[in-house]
Order: sequence, then structure tokens, then C-alpha cells
Amino acid sequence: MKVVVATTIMPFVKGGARILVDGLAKALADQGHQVDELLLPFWDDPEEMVEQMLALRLVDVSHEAELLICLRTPSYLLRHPNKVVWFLHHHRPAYDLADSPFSTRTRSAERRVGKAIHESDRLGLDEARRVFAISETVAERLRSYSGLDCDVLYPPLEGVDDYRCDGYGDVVFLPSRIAPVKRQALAIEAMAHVREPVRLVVVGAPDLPEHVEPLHELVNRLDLSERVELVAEWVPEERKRDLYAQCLAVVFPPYGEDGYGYVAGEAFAAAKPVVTCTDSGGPLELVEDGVNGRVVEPEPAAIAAAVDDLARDRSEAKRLGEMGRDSLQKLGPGWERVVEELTA
Amino acid sequence: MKVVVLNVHVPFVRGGAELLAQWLTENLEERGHETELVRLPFRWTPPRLVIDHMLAARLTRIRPADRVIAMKFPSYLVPHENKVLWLLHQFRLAYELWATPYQGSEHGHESARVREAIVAADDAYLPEARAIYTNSAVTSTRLKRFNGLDSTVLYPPLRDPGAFRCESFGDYVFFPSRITITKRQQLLVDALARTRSGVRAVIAGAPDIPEYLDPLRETIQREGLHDRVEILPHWISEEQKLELYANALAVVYPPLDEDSYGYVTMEAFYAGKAVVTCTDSGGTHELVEDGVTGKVVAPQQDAMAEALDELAEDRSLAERLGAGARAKLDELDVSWDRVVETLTS
Repeated sequence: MKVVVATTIMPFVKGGARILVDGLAKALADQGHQVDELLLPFWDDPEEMVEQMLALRLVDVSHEAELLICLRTPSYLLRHPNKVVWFLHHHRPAYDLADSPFSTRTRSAERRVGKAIHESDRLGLDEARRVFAISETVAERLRSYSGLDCDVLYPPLEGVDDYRCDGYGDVVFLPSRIAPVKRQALAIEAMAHVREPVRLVVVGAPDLPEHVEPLHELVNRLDLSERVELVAEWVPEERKRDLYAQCLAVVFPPYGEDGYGYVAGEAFAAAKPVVTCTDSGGPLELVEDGVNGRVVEPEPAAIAAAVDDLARDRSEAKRLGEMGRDSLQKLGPGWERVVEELTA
Repeated sequence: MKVVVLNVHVPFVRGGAELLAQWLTENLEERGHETELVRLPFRWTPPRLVIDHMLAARLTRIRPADRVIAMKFPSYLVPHENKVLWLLHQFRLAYELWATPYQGSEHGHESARVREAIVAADDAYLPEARAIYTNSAVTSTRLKRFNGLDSTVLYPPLRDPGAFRCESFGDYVFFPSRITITKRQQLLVDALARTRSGVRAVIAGAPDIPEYLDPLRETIQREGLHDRVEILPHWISEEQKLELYANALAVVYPPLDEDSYGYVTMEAFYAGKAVVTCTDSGGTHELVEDGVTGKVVAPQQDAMAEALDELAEDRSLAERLGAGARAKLDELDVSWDRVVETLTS
């Protein structure tokens, strides 16, 4: 079957959507489908969102393919009679972040376009023949915000076997795009409370350059330059896998994350326990406190206590990490089934 | 700087423009620019869809780029305060192909309306760009004629010019190209039957349709040219292509009224080979000058045969014209360094 896989992208931002589109396109091709990708630029500044939504709406791909699969919001505004949505997340500032501290930038503009976003989401999603969510967390949001029932299809984790464990060292690792909602600041603050000789390595490309400086300032203010290493750029896969292999644990404390988080999945693939928070969203579908990681209050002291526990008892870290590797089963049987469901 | 290269994307179709956009992106990156290639979906049938896509481009926002380099209609309609154009061509169906058989006639009235809208949009929004560069004098001339706009020619370099080499001036002329009527492979085969020097020819390229090979093969049969014409009717490997360029006596490229100088001409020049082309070949004349960088002959078998014999009987002429071709490239300064510097300045 001829399939177009569409998503929006933010130029220069390497997020999960691109990884997922590439993985899906490859899986479709592997199963004999003819596939092409549409990566549509979309910049989520509320001042300019409505015209960009209209731009997407003007594109009709009915003639190009028998099936259109849409991923990141609001790519499902594209027109096609046979449209399937694999829903990654809402435009969160118009939904769950609307009244949270993470609603940034020109909030009044955000409020003004909020209604337009709600309406256009309803339009695009109602047209879809089927809608799948990437996690229970997102499925629940679709139920409460859009009154939509949908099945969950977890994005398969790529290259699980490429991750290895070289032991449980003295570094806790936080690899993620640098953005306020990922709460790198919370992990850094926790380090001021950690008593054991453990360092934190934060790695990731910033969404916006201005997200980096406050983190450096925080490190300086808390006098943590010896204990926190901040690498604010995209690092090669190999280096990332080395860091996973050597670390004691992975700290992943985002606020209301949509999916289970590649970070949590990769940590488990490397047999490392994950420390996450009670309000972290998607990762809670994978991480269970005391089973394969720690789930703590989103407080610096609580995260620090969990890190100290693991540093004092490496065998516990190992036990949790290895349980984590087993829990990857929960993500399901992988690309073959995803393709089957999306093309059914 | 942060650069977005803007092109269009017709799902499931790949062509020369896509390759050039890709190479430009790679070369910007190699020179330290953070670069992203963004492609906007496009479709032109039925014609009214063109209007939708123009409007969509106009409503698209490219952030946070310091520079946008737009290459094709309608992607260049995207507004950006720091936009430059490197135009491969405009939307040809609305311009030089209008009212020709290529345009198709099934949407007559609607097409006329759409055409007006395209010209109006070009007139209104092309001047927004900080600068307009084109891939050839042909494109620049059309832009002046149809829209009254000045532009500067910035020749697209090859992906890897350094790969081309000259090893010898052998006993064959080389004609690498899609095999199709307008490229006129037939003219070379006909001419070969008229030569006296025993010069050979190697014709390489995929036929647009298999039937295009039939008349070539018939001529070879009829004229007994089996030993002198070799047809490789498929895409040959890059390696084999470089090898065939490196040892050719000269390159033959006589298309009918080409848009631009054509990659074949550029490749031949990098390999230090003269190009034999025709007086009605169009864009090739931007590079090929008779007696300096090649031979420009009438599109007739006798004239072509005469040129081939001259080169075969006087290798030093082939060498001299080949050296002239190589010197022409230095004179034009066709290089990725220059393209990147020009488009980001």
C-alpha cells in the first residue's frame, strides 16, 4: 500500500517525533509498503499558530497515497479520506500546561489561540478513521479533553540490544532535550541535597538557547560545579550509550511527560534503575517504585534521598535495573504489530 | 548561522532539484552552518490545487532561522525577513510551457485563471527576497522577460567535482544521459555512420521508455555499426561513469533546447573533455564555445560527423579544447565554497 507518514517538526529541534517517523517509515517499508515522509515545519509560537494551522489544512494529500498516518500535532489537519492518527501529544500549553508554571511566553496570546487549537484538534481528530495514543497517559488526556476513546500503541524502543551495562558507577545520568518541562533544574537542585559522592551528568540539545543559561546559573548559585556536568548539545549515540552503561541510575523527572519516555526505556535497556516523580506522567506506566526504580515526590530532597539510597546499596541498584530490563516486555511486540494496527 | 533550505516535495518523486537541495544542505553544514532542509508538499493537478499550495506557503512560518534559501515554486513564497532565492526555474507550466503541448489542455478555463494567480504571486512576492540567484542564464532571462526582475546567475556545482579526472584521450566519444527523444542520441548514431575516422561512441543512460532504444538499434544494424557503438541502456555506476569520462576523446551532448547547461556539460568539463553540442541546444551554450571549450555544430548528421572526425584525427585539438573546458570552470569559479558564501552573505 502507498502510505504517507506526516508529522510537524520544529526546524533545528531533534525531538522524539522525528525518531518515531523514521522508525515507522522503515517498519512500513520492511513490510512491503511504499512509503514517503512529510516533515512539515511548525513553530509553536501562539502569535503565529493560527496561520500555520491553516497552511496545514490547505494541503490535500488524497491523491498521493492510499493511507495517511499523522503523528505530531497538528499534522492531522492535512486532508485525506483515509487518515489514521498516532497521537503523540496535545499542544500542551493549550491543555494540561495551560495553568501550570510551564505555560511560558506571552500567556495572553496562548489563551487567545487556545480555543482555535481546541476546535482544530476536534476537526482533525474527528476526521480520522482511527486514533491511537502513544501511552495510557495520552489516551487519558484524549478522553478528558477531546472525549475520544482510543487504543494505546507504544512506540517500540529502537536498538534495545545496543545498550549495555558496565556496572553501577558514581554518576546519575539525565539525557533529554533541555526544556523547562523536562525539569533539569529539579535534578540539579536535588544534587545540593545528595550526601553520597555521586555526580550528575545532564546531556541534551536545548529547545531554545535561552533554556541553558538559567541551568548554568543554578549550578553556580548552588556551588555544584564539581558535581554537575551540563552538556547542552546533542551527543552522538555512542557517547550516550557509554553514559548509560556506566551510570548508577538514570534520573528522569519531567512534568507530565506524554509517552513512557525513550529515556526510561533506554535506561532499562541498559539495566539501570530510573528515578522519576509522582507527577512525571508517561514514565509511570513503565517505572514502579521499588520494583524497577524509584517514584518520588517532585522535591529536590526526595530525589536526593532516592539517589543516596541507590549509591549506598549498589546491589539494590542492580536488582532494580535488571527488573527494569524485564519490564520492557510491557511495551509490546514491536514494529510489526504497530504497522499491522496502523494499516488495518 | 542557522539556515533553512526550502524546497518542495512531491511525495514519491525524486529528481535533480531534490538532489541539489540535499547537496546544498550538506555543503552548508560542512562549512559550519546549522542547516535544516525543509520541504513543502506540492501538487499541481488539478490546477486549482496550485492556489491552495501558494496560500499554504504564504501562511507557513520558518522559525528560528537566520537565513532562508528557497529554491522552487511555491516554497519561495514563504515570508521571511532574511530570504534569498536560488531559483532552478519558476513554475514552468505558467510561463514558457504555457500554451504548449506540455501544459495539457483539459483544464482550459481554470488553467488560465490559475496562471494569472501564479504570475501575480510571483510579481508580488519574488521581490521580497534580499537577493535572487538562478541556476542559469536561461532562467535569469525568463525572469526578466516574464516578471521584469533582475537576478544573478550562480551555477550549481556538482556534488563532488574532485572525483572527475582525465586519464587519456581514447578512441570513443561519450554520451551519458537519459535516453529520450529530446536528448537526441539518434543524431550521434546517424553521424557515426558518416564518419571516416573510425571513431567509436559509448551511449549510457536509462531510456524513458524501452521503445526509445528501437530506432537506435535499427540504425546500428542497418549501418553495420556494432563494433563502433556501445549502448549501456541503464544507469551506470558512479565509478564506471568517472572511468568513461576519464578516457573519452570528447563528450557529445546535443539536446534540443535545454533549460540549463546540463550536468553532463559540467561533468565533462571537470574531466577536462571538450563537449560537442548543437546550435539549437539552448543552455549548453553558456559553457560550450566553438573552438574554445568544444564544438558547436548544426543539428545535422554531416556536421556532427565532421566535428567527430576532426577530433579523432587531431588528438591535440581534443586536448586543447579539453584544457579550455577545464579553464572555463576556473574562470566561472563554480564551487560550493562560492555558492555557500554567496547564499549566506
